[in-house]
Amino acid sequence: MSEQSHAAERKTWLYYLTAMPPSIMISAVWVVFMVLVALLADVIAPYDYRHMELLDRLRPPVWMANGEWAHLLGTDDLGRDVLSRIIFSIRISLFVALLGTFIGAVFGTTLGFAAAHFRGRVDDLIMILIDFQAALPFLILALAILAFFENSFVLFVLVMGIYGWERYARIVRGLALSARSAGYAVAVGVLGASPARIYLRHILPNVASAIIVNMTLNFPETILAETSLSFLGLGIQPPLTSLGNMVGFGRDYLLTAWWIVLLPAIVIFVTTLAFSLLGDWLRDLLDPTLRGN
Amino acid sequence: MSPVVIAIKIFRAMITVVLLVTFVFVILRLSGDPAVQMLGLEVDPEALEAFRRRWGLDRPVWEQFLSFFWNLLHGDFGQSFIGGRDALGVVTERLPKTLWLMGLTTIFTFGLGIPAGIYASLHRNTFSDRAIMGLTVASFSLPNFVVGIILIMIFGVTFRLLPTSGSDTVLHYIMPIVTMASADAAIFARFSRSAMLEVLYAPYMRTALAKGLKWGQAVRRHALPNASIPIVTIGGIYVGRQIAAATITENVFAWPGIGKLLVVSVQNRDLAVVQCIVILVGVTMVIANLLVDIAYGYLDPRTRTEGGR
Amino acid sequence: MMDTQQGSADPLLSVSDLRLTFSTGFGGWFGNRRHVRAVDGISFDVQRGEVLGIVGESSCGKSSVAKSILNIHPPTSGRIIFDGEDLVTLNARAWRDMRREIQYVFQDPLGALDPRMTVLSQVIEPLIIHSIGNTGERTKQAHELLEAVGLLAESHDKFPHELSGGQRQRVVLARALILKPRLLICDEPVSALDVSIQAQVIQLLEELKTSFDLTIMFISHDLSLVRYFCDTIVVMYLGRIVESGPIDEVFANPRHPYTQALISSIPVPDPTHKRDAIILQGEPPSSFDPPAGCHFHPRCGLQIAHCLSVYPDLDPVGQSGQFVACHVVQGREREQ
Repeated sequence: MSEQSHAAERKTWLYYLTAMPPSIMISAVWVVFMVLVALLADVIAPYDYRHMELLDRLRPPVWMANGEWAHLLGTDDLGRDVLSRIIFSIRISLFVALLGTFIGAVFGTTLGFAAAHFRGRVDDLIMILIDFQAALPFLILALAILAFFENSFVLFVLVMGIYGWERYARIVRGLALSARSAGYAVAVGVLGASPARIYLRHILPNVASAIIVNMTLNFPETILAETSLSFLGLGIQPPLTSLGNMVGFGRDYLLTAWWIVLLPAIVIFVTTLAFSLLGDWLRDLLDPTLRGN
Repeated sequence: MSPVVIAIKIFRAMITVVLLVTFVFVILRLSGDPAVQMLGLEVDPEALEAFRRRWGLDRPVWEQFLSFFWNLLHGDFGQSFIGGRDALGVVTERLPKTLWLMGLTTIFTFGLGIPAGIYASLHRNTFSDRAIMGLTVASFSLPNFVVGIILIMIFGVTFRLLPTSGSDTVLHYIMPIVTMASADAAIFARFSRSAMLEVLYAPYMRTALAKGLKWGQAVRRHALPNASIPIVTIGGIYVGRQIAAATITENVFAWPGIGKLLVVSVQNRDLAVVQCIVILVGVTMVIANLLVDIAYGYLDPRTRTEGGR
Repeated sequence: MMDTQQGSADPLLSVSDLRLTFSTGFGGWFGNRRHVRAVDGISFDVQRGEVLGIVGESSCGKSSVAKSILNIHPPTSGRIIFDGEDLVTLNARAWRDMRREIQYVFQDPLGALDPRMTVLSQVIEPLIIHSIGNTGERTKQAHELLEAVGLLAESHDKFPHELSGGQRQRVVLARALILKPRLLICDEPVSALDVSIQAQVIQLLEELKTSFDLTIMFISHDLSLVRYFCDTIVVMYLGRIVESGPIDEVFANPRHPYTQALISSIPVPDPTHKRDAIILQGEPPSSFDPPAGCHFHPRCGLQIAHCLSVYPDLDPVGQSGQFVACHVVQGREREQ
């Protein structure tokens, strides 16, 4: 068995990689592109996103009458270059979504482990919190928090971090509970390992794939949540820019300067679509038992 | 399902509601002086004092909590900045519009999404199946405000076919409903498709066919009832999504419902109204989940003997 | 109360009146707790260098005894004296050190191993946990031990799922023995393996016992294995000991009706031999609701009135160190 099956396993990985359907390949390319844009924003953006040219307001994109090469995608109502703002928005939106997903994962996983490890009242309490979180639509919860407290960037990122933590907690709790009673957790405990060691070196790596799978689900949803909140004017605040932000503030100019609204909207659409498709495909790859969802 | 099991579920639901109220209470206290929060800074000190006394802000915290809870049970959520009116009144005034929107959307979502999904499952791997799948992925990747904006741009601005704000005529309903229905119809389509697929190829279907049932009969008598179980389960999640979607859609179309009210109240920090809406939404969700939980117990005999988790 | 079975030196392990009670069911709100007395007053000794077998039906409590000793489930009451120290009183720190002395092998070798670590690193891990040696020394020791248990060098870097059942159990043994424990508790170590492999692993255990100077507690439901491998035997039924003694004595002359039934059911590899298997009447007992008096009485052919109300003590019978918990047998003994 051994040698050949291992080689066979590796072969199927490679096989999958090259057998990506075109839609997935395009999605992957787009995602990589977005990440590059986010990382290289300072270098590739022609202007600073806050830079206003009040005499050059509402200029259309280059391919329309009145467009000019200086502003490839036109300018907005304050004379700011739309292309640059989109580029920086991508960076900020991706950054916030990444941070939020990460915070949610850490928070949810820790609580999941705590519930599995301590059981009893702690477990009950955490389960109630999970039920509570699942009961309230995230948007409402976020709005409530943002209403009561001043909206700062830090607060907003933390709020994004709350998105979906209960899913991690549920999954991790379930997996940790079964791992705890599974042989190796007990066995390593009998060998003298401390609970911390058992969780970090044995249970965590085995639940990691489930956590990562959930993160791929969570990430595009976080982007959507952030964009929606920013659209409502309650997310990322000016002077910082975000894709949702741009659509929200550009609404008044739908008639006169549609590019302010439509172009960021298209970027949102394509990016979330790409992430969703990629995430779906990755999930199928990593965990065939989740297929069909 | 035994009454005991139902009682336990109701009990847990009530605990969630209590938790919700506690949560609102806590963040209200944490975010600053509630009197100033609720009434604003420009109000004169006497009004602030009166407010404090009415809400018992000079008394120990747990007393405050109890009177908060008590007030809530009597429908007293405080007063809105809008003309000093009763928060609950302001909210219930806008409620019908939102309920209309949500109700009609639900009809469309179910009426379009589920049949589409079932159709796709019955014609698996054909062009129509792939087309539906592709469309649905695109649909729920689009945030609904983008759908709304695009619809406005096409039908409202460019072709001037439909009105873009307000809710006066039937025409006003079209775009908001399409906006709200798109993502969820897509999700229901995918879900019903996979639920049907799981069920269509199950052994009991083959048995039914072997017994001599025609395909259509077998689908109706065996496949559909079993497939409805997972669909009911996501019913609870659906209500939550609807509420969130309504909040955004109403904003896009200036629809005079609760969603718009919520956002405006958040922007204006009209905390009484925010508090009222949050609690109402929470309670609705808890009830919805409870009903789904109980319905699930009836539909799926396998879960009937379970008590707790 | 139990006396030492084989006289002479201090037993390595001495268990006195060990009890382990589980509660199940809903907590608090509805008071639905049900109690299972998994271990209901067990006392026995294990002498140094001895192999003690513990047998009984499933859910008789034999695994729970092991788990109590190892503190996987802390006992509800009783004393467990290991080499002079009462394990029940140890705190977490002391237990860490004690782990080096008492080790555990149980039934499922695949479950016992972390699926994501190579077998070599799993054998090394105990050394890391207890800070023994440096990296080079640990690796060397692990390699040597794996070879000693019969795992070829080329398999040391494999993952558990790439090995056969027998190989995995060897790895588990190596991992358990690398700390050089004095007591090894084996809970159905070969039940999950093919019969042909079982013999190999038992042979391995014998060799390891000698080379590591081990004392072994061998828990099994397989009586022929126990007969082959063990020096002493303890028979459990529903949380209590019903019979114990030197292996040859008990097998030649089982006194307790339950033991007799068990032994009579052992297959004999002689097709002409007509077995008079004693078939027990009645239902297997429920641990939640044990019968009053002697737990075995509903299925016992010998029962007298006394059996229904009073649980018999484990008392000596005969001259060769056998102990039995049965009113009828004790009655006959006293008459002689």
